[in-house]
Amino acid sequence: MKERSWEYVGRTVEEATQTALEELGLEPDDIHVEILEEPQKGFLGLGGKEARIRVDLIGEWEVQGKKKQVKDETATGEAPEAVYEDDELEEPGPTTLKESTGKPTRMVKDILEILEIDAMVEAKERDDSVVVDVWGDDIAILIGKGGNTLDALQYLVNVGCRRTGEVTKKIIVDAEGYRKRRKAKLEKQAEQLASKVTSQRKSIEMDPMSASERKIVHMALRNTDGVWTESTGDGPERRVVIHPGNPDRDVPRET
Amino acid sequence: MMKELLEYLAKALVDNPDDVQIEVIEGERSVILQLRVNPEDIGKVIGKQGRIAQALRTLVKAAATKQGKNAIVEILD
Repeated sequence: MKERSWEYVGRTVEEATQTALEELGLEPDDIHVEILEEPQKGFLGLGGKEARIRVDLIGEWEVQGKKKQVKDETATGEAPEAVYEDDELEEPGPTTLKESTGKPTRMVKDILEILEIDAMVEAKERDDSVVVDVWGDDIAILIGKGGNTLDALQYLVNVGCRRTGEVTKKIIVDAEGYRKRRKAKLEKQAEQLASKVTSQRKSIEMDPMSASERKIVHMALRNTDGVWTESTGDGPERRVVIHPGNPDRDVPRET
Repeated sequence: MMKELLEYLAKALVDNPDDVQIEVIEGERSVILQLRVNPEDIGKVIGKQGRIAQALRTLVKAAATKQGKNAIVEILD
């Protein structure tokens, strides 16, 4: 199996690391960062050099399926509530192609083949959804920035497989448990920002996110005292704003 | 790779897959892919508020990035 490492660039080492974490959907604890090139300031903005880093996955990531899930649970400390919880730890999930998992699995496999991505596809049927998980060496490209590419893939697989009524359940396309890690990461980030909002008494605007990710943030801070959240902006620019105080007392500010 | 991907995805979305046509205009750094479908299917590749078209572009762009290129998807009617 290929070594799992990627190279990233950014204006600073921190920025490059941040991009890497976001694109890979990982926590700082999951990776080892090696600085390949320190950034150099140019003269009047000319001739500067970007920081170049190499990111290596550490820990149990070579192990397929089961163990990875275990690591997910322990790495974040308080086992985050899974997006699709229940029996994940007990059974790795047989890859039987039932009618409802067959079509989505085939579509994801076809797309991976066209993209020349060497990966394994595992599908599980849940009560209310079909989960298609992709495992492989080269799947960062499938995830994209902030999960953009993965969301687009999931959306098209849903439209493509459900239009004829063959599949009725919602299809979730995941890459190496990315969605679960991303959820844990968003919740942590929301809490950190919330305490900043409380101490500075100033609203903070988060980066634009998809509807399901905004929901994760709203839910995470729903019972947090001293802050309230709302979404502003349109389309791909829509984002969560965390406000100090109480929505009944404080007039929402325009941002 | 990009053409193949767009063709595959478009065919999965429409009622008349045989009418899916893609023309590729290859530039030095970017590639323009012009997608034509049966007039009845045009809504199926655009979607409400262009959401399907947007998702198609995102995936084709990911494929293009893999080849160090930029991709532009145009839907012609």
